[in-house]
Amino acid sequence: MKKWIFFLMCCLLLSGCGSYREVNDMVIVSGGGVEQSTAGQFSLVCQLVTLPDGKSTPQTDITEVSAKTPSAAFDAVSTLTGKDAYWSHCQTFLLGENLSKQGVSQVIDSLLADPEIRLTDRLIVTVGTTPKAALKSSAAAGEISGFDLYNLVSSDSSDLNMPLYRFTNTLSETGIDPILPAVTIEKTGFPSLYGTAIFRGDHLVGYLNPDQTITFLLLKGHTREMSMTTSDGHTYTIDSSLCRISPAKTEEGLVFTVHLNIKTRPETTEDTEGILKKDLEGRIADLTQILQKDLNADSLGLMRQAYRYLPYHYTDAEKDALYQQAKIRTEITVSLTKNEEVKAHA
Amino acid sequence: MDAASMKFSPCLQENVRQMQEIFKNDSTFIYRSVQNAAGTLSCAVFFLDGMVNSEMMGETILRPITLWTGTDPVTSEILAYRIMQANDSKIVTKPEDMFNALLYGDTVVFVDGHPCPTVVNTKGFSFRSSSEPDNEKVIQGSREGFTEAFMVNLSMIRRRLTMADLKFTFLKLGTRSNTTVSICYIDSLCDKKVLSELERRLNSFDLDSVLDSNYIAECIKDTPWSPFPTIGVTERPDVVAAKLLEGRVALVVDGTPAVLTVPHVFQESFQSNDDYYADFQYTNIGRILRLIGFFLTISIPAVYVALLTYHQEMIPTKLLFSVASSRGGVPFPTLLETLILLLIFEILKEAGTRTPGNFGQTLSIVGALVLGQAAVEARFVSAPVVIIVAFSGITALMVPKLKTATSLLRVFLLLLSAVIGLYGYILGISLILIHLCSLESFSVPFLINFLSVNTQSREDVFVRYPWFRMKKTHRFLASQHQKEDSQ
Repeated sequence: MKKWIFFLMCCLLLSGCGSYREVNDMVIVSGGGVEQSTAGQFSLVCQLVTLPDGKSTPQTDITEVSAKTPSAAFDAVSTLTGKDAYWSHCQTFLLGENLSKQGVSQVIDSLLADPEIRLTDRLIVTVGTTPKAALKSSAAAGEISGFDLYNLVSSDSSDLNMPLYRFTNTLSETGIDPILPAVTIEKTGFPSLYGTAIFRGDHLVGYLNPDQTITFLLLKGHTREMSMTTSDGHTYTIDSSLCRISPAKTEEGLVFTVHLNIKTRPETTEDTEGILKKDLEGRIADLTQILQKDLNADSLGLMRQAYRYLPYHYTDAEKDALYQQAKIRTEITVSLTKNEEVKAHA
Repeated sequence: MDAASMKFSPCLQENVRQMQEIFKNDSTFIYRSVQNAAGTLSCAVFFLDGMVNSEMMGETILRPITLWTGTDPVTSEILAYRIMQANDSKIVTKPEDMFNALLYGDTVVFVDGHPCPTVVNTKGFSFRSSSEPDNEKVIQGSREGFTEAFMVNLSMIRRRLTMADLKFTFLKLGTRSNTTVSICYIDSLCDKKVLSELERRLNSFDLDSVLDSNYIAECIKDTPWSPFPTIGVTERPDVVAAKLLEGRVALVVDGTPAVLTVPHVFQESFQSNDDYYADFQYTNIGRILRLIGFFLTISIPAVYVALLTYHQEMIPTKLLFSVASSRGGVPFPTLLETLILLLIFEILKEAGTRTPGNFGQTLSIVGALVLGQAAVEARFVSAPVVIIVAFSGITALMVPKLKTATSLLRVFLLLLSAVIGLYGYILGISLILIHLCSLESFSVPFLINFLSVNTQSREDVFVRYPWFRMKKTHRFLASQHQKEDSQ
């Protein structure tokens, strides 16, 4: 028995050293991104943290490698730097516009295959710029731009805050197309949210501007503390919103009713509710027009609703046609937040 | 001629000759011939210089003999009980009893014409006065500590437990040193199985000398190779009294202030005298901290090495930057660096313990501040490791009774963590727990009250309940007897 225990202990203890790694022998990646060239080469960009001896203030360095596949590009980083590239502290991963248009599945597969990459890494699409330029952009004082980009998207508690696992889940789900936050670089050199990148499957098909993004987020569910400017020039604060989309099969075909209930302030005119209701109806109509007709991307997950609640009227083969022909109605309830509630909230 | 070949003779001169032959070349051996004025009483007095109280000997032995005016023949009985004015004298019939008494400060008196000598208690050797033990200091409470004097130690226990039930059984251990050992227990409270097991182990004792209680402790310990103490040691009479009241058995050894208590369970290592003498709310915080301290002292270096060499993803990003930058330029791997510093810490601790008085403090300052800071600046070691080892060392001082366990287990867990990371650490903790569960102290499970579901038995484990809630129930070994008593 003792010999067996000794043998097992030896096996156990001698098989563990493989993943041993000293902090000095690795280089920490604080941000990463991939772009695809027209020739099909994958260009992996890494923001590497270098720590001068004895100084805790980190400095960053951008390294770029190109390879035929994303996995080969990941492997090439360590070869290039001479140290193990350590991805576990990377919080954001940028997807280039060109790559996104070509399809991100291959990159997503590589990210999921790497055990060091966290499933909570935020995916961001760069618009009008490359991932390399985004990682080189200015950051808040004392912050690394890779982490600053994370703060930019993760401060939003809505659907735009898209970790890798949620994007992957959405990608594999029936009846819904994924979205990602889109980031651009301003003239000042700082990154800012451009809007929403709309995917059809794993391909980028278009963007929603910030105003459309607000409407999109209202339809996606429970949203708080957003500002919305109506066509008459007034800005309202949406304290809370609740949205439910219910499908129904009618003589007209599939009809989706959007039940939107929002609480807002301040009261600008006697008919603030009416103005807002009308404005929202117009916004929703515009948004659904873009998603349904222009982009043909089911980012709201309408077909998922149909698949769940009307399974006898849904088929995969007719999915696109059903989505294109689906009617969308709105039932909007606007209520004004009372002053007492505002004070209590404050 | 040796002591074993001594034979008592009715002839005084023969006895004197034999005694002088046995103690030849021993300058402390004193022989004095004493006679009364009438010449009817002739005695030989033997004692060891420095071991007897000369004044007492003069008053109780020499003066009565020289002033004896009787004319009848004097027997040993008459000498012992009528002539000499000693409060503790007896006639011995065996030479080994006489030698034991003589060597322990008694005076031997032979009377002419009678073979059996009289032994008079004239012990008068000097010993250190009682003082507070350095390693068991209290904020409030008794400052008395055991000394090297055997009987004085027993009197300290007796003074605290004035009960007829308190028993002191004497026995001699060590074939050469003949050290007197006393088994102390309260007859109505102690577990007789523990007592008989202790006596059995002591009887199978096979050492030629016993100069300290640790000689016995190592020989009678249940699991000699375990780093955990299954025999308690204390230098405080109040602690011994408390443990006797809990139904334990104490072992007082002549020549040492360290008294052994059995059985000794795990929770006792975290108990301090202040836990009972000061306010329970305050002292319970200390006890919880000691429990946490023990866990931290064995875990911190291991977890540090595991995180830094295997699980860097678990370290917060900014902390990782800080640690990585401080490790820049350090030539040694994290494990070696930690082991070296642990070794240096143990060396400093050992040197500080062996160094007398004020110089010890200087050494600590030089070691901790100068050496530590210089080593970091010279890039021999990184600053986080100094912090880790220092913290581990400081927390170890919170549980001095487990000093062996903390020193060994710290390295054990460290090595396991260095091999397979946190899995190794968890494996090590599991092995330690298995070992603890398997330990026994005189048939009492070592983790007896840690694992108990009985709420009464937990009254003095993780925290001490207030005295008005504890009453007698905390006496876990004695509780059974008390139940029987109440019935």
